[in-house]
Amino acid sequence: MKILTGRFGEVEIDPARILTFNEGIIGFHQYTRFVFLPFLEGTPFELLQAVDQPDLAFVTINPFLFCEDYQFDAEDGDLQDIQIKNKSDLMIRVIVTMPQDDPRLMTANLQGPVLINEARLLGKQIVLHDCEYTTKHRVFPDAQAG
Amino acid sequence: MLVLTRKVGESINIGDNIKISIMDVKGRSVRVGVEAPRSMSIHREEIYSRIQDENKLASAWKNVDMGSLKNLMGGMGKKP
Repeated sequence: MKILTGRFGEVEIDPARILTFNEGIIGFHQYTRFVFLPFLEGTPFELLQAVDQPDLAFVTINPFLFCEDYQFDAEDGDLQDIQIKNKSDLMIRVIVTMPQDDPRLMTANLQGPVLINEARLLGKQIVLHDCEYTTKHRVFPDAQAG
Repeated sequence: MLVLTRKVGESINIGDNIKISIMDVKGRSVRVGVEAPRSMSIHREEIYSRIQDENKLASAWKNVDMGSLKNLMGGMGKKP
């Protein structure tokens, strides 16, 4: 099927890869269908694109690429919501905030990770309450502004 | 807003399924227990708002300079 995206215009997607976020992404609850699209060739980013809103898309990344020891306790209820039975079925992505002028200052939201059950095509953004992580974790901690 | 006074150990029911209990009071902190159906998400407001605000910021990435991003990320696979 074809969907419209803000970045790539019309894109052909496999309907069998559409993920359902029953609660949407926090702050954008009205959109529940998303699909991962490649973002920029040669980079580890993927775009989490809303199927029903071209202008709603999030740059995401595998957090373990820059924060190897990232860990948190997911609540059973959250895992049940996306029908995770074994941890091995769980895919974790985090949303990246890109500053307009200097991508070196990009941050990742480690406090609101996105949990995906690829087999069941379900996803959920969760909120970590008691954790050391912030919503603005520097992806390149050594980069200076300028 | 409805304002009720409760003592430690007392509760408030909201409808049939939600119960909010005052567990403890220490100085200016109040420990609150919430019992609610699984389908209701319960969050500390400031943390939830922070995530919401960050998502809004993150969704506005469209003017990012893709060229410099690509240069920057060239080495990511090797050294994050």
